[in-house]
Amino acid sequence: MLLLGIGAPAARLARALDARLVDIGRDDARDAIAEAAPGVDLILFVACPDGTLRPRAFESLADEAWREGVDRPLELMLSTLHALSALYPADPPPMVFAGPSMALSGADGLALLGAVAEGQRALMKSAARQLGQRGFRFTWIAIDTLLFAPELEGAQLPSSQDPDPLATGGGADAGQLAALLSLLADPRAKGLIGQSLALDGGELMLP
Amino acid sequence: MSLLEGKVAFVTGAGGTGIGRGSSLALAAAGASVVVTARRIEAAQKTADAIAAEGGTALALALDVSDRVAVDAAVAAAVARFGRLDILIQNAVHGGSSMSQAVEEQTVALMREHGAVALDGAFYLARAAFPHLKASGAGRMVFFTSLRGIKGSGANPVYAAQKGAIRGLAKSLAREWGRHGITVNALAPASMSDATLVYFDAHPGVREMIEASVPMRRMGDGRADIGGVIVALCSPLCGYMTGQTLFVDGGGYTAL
Repeated sequence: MLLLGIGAPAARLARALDARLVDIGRDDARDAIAEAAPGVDLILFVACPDGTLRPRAFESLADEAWREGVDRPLELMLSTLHALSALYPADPPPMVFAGPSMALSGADGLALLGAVAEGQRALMKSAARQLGQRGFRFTWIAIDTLLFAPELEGAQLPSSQDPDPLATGGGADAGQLAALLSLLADPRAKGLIGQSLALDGGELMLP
Repeated sequence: MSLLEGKVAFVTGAGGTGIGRGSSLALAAAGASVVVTARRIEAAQKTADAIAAEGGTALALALDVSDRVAVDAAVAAAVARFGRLDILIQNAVHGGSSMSQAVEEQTVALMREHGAVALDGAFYLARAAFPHLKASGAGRMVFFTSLRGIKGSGANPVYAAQKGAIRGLAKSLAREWGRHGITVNALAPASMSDATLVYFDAHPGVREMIEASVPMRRMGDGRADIGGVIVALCSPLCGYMTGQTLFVDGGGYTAL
């Protein structure tokens, strides 16, 4: 598995999943992706910069925090899509994009993270619609927020305020994520495209 | 008494013929004083004049929402003129945002150019308006998102991404600002506007295709259809609804 991304969640997930990590923020990211991609069974994309993981009042956000937390990661995702589109004229591996589950609901103090993850999710769907006919299969996993970013323990997450219990009694773990990624890597999952899957221990149960 | 009597609204992208103008007219007709902003002062003034002709109160301001200093100054000017700010409607988008393009053709420079209006502008406006919306005690913030930001777009991935990000921002702000009595919602319209006219001109037959797919069998009207919902959202009638995405699209999207 190849993991393309930036930020602490990308580095942590690469370690947990034993995936090779390519930093898409580096100047030669396109070359690095081309060098690392051959033969991989699945590509995972995670790009939530560290600055998005620090809860703070919206009105205290500086222009640069918005630029680095929202604008730039969206631009990096677009650049990565360009690189992948050029790299795979045919037979691309499945590609999974991921963000924290909190972005589906929003969270107090985490406007940057909510905005960038929802922007990336919408871009994933659009790319799926455009590139699907060339064999690209994109999906989104909304990963349990505390698995995605343990540093958000103590943040005002919707999950920590919800009186309803998690279906599984607890959050998701890395083993469950690895298992879900294995399922998505399987060609028999090719009918699943552009979808958002919540790996959150049965919290949101989306409508 | 009118629903929005004594309220002050600030509307971006309110020149032209679309939902910014329609929302401004509807808000004014409901009793709000409206700060009408557009990149060109002539366009803003035209909407303000139409409000005045109906007996309403409006102030026209030239505003490029991608300019943070200009946003801060415009919000300050609005408060200086009317003494308060209760309602912020963020409608401005880049003029080229309705054009269809393949994702491979959409450059980072284009994303940055469009994002300066759609994303950075929304950020600057929300940040500048917050203290005034908080002081209002019943502040209202409405972002215009798009169906494309929810189901993705086969026509314009950058637009979809930015509208998705706006929706994410709205959800978090709703959770953050609720304690101050501020509601934050996103509205996904299907309405005639300058942008849709450009799009329909560039894509013959698409209007008919869209209208055939909509249960109401027509595109929405900026004032009657979209403006009406804006007025309701900004009124005391909707003081307990926040963090939501509302589809005002004639029933075009019913998946949720």
